[in-house]
Amino acid sequence: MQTGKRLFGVVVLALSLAGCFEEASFEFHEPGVYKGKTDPLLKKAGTPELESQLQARLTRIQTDR
Amino acid sequence: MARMKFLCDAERCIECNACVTACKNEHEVPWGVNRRRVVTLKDGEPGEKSISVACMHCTDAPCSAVCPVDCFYTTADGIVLHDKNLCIGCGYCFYACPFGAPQYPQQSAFGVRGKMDKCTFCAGGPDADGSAEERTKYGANRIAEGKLPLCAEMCSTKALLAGDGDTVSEIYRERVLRRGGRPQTWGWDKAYGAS
Repeated sequence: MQTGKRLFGVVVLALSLAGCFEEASFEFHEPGVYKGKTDPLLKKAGTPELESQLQARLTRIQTDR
Repeated sequence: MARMKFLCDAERCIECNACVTACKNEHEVPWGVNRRRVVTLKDGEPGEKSISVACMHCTDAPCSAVCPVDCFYTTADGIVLHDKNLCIGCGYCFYACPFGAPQYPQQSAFGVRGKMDKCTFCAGGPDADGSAEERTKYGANRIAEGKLPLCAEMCSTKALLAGDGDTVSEIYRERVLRRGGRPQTWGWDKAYGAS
């Protein structure tokens, strides 16, 4: 009877401890590196087409009349 | 490759605030936030000068350096942008910026500021170009459409220049030569260093 109680106690303890289990997986991030989603403009920025378009716009609109 | 820069010619700025209005209208900026503002020195006195100030899109941006969630990124042509989905409204960038560019839309109990808002050089944010989501969060994306910032394009006296740094400095150099004075490229040393 005593052994049965002890065994029961051990089983309850084991089950309750199993409930406390937490998977320790961490995600490490490099500091100073952008974490957000990629801007579609990044692909377009710096391309010769967009640059020439912006350059033409600058010389046409912002220079003295 | 082009390096996008702003330059305000203090000799030409007449403090009309058209740049401020154009910015607010184009991007439908919320109340209490001014992405661009005109600062006047010696107001009403001899030697009065006005300068239109916004984010200068610094080469080594201090806002980006202090951001604890790394929500800033820089495009290939030097435009400093940020992701509002990552911003936690801590205010570090506001304290780091020498131009007072980062702004916060709300001030309520417990110091809740909301997501930081600043000039995007009319280049929107990381959402799809021209999407409703991008427009709501960051305003219009004129760069993707091949247009330059509206504040500079609307400037009636051509005091505010925006575009490729080499062309902008060439335009300004010609003006200074015509005036016969020394160039005073306000904010350029702080924003872009020696280059």
